[in-house]
Amino acid sequence: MATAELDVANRPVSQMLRRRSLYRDAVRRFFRNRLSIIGLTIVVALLIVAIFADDWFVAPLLGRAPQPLIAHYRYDEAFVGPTGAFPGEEFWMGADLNGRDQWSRIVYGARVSLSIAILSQFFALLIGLPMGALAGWRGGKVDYVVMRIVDIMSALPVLLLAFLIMLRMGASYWNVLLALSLTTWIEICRLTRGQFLTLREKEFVEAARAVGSRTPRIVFGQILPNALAPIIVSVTLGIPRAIFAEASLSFLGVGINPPTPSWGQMIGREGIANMTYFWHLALFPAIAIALTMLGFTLVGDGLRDALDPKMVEGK
Amino acid sequence: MVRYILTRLLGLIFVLLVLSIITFWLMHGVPGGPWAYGQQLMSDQQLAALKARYGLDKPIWEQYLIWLGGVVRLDFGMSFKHPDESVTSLIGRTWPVTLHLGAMTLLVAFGVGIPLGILSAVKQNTWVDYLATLMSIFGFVTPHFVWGILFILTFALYLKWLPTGGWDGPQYWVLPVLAYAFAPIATISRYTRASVVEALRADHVRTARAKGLNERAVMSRHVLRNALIPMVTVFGPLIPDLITGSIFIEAIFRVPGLGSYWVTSTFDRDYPMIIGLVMLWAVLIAITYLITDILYVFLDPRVRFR
Repeated sequence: MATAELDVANRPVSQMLRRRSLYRDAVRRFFRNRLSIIGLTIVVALLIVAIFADDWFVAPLLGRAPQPLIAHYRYDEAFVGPTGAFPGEEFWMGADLNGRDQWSRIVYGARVSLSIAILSQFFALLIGLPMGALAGWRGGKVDYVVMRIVDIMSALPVLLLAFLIMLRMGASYWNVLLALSLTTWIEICRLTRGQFLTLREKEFVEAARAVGSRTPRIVFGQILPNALAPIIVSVTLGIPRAIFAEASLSFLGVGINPPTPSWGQMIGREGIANMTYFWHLALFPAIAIALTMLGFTLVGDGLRDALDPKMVEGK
Repeated sequence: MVRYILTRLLGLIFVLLVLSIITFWLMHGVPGGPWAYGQQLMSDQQLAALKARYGLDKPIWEQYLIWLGGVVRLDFGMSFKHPDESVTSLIGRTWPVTLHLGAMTLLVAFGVGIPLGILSAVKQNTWVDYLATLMSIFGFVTPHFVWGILFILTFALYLKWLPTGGWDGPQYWVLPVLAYAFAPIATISRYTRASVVEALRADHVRTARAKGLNERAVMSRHVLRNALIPMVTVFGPLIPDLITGSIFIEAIFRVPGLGSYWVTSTFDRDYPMIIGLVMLWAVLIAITYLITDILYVFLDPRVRFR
């Protein structure tokens, strides 16, 4: 008897219908927005470039090193002839001062940039969501401790904090990922806490409690689904910020180590110093960063507008 | 009110204390000390003497307490890299340049951002609005160092209108300030637009129009005054961005300010300089937030403290 009633209590039919239609409406609104479509196109194109830079997915099966697909050469393949060559037929975006094809390095750079950005936001979510949920749900001392951690972490801009962490741990792919995850969970945590604080006082939570739902059911079945929309938006908009942060760290020389390419590193190591003559060294990575951030920001903005029910009433 | 400010200040001191401990710990764990890969060869005795002179042979907690004791007397120690200059005087010498750059940037950002936001709110959903929105999206998503590179390539190298870098006079200011101001312009105009659009819909504005007030008076007295109050809150979050931005802008445009010391002092393992910079910026950011919150109460009587 209890299970049947609890199920009804936790997933009222009316709420299920409304929730489903909220997300369906959101998808429709998202695709009606021209800017979000542009953003989505850019993001999908970048993901394809990053995934199919080389054939890493079949190479182990064939027992050989990955062969370039979208890239023309391996990112660390150097040619003696064209050091610093300007863009031309063979080297679309020219060659860097080590004689490596810039187009290939930018293509592989997409892989570094996107994977760090997406993974770091995933880990930030893994830290920030439980912490924020705990603080908002329990309140009191737990909330106090979590919020003081948040206060201390937000005394410095994310980038400077990540910079200090990178200094201690040394430049590498995994350390950049770790530093960015450790510094960006704060916003997700603060947001989740705020959502839980307001939602736990709502009538439907009280109703769930009144019919005897246990805490995990209330938290995961009632509050979390309702808190999810702003968190999704925050994570999506965190991706361009993480791309920017990775580029900045690599620009400063504490991010991705060469020969692994990163757009920020390409600008910081060779681009700036040689801009007066080898203009292509700075220009193409700069455009790549701008385009990627544009794509993800447009998608994030589109999601925010689509998921915000207030926007519907306004228009 | 006074009590509120005092609690905030106490909280601030606590945050700074913890932050300084974390920074101290982080930077002392960095592989290689300040003289590890030194330019000059040193015997072990010389190295030991040098370390003893700067107190680096003591346990880290003792070093921290010594540093903290100095900070109370506003003495942040001597820079390792520039042994004849204290951190305080180094900051005092180079900070004015950064402040100058930052102040000009803020001026341009608000001077362009607010009118742009008002314009696109008043001409809502026309091509002017779309153009402004597009501009602010680009400003928002493109990092300042990317703008810096694009501006140098276009205006300094291709068109040859302005110098590529340096800090010797007004013609050197234009490009860094523009590259620096682009993102804040975008933020400010976006917020202004949203704020003005909301104010335009308010009942008292309709009343003002209904009683026959001319458009100019409606805008200045009823719309803008209400709409611009929330802009104070935009000011606070801009400051950290400006502060981190100075590192990149100064590196790209070769501006001899404080921002460039971030990079050099960390690569030199110049401990007193690193922690001095971290503390300075943390204090700056915290105080901006505090001032913003206080200003907000003065400007908007609807906000009250608990």
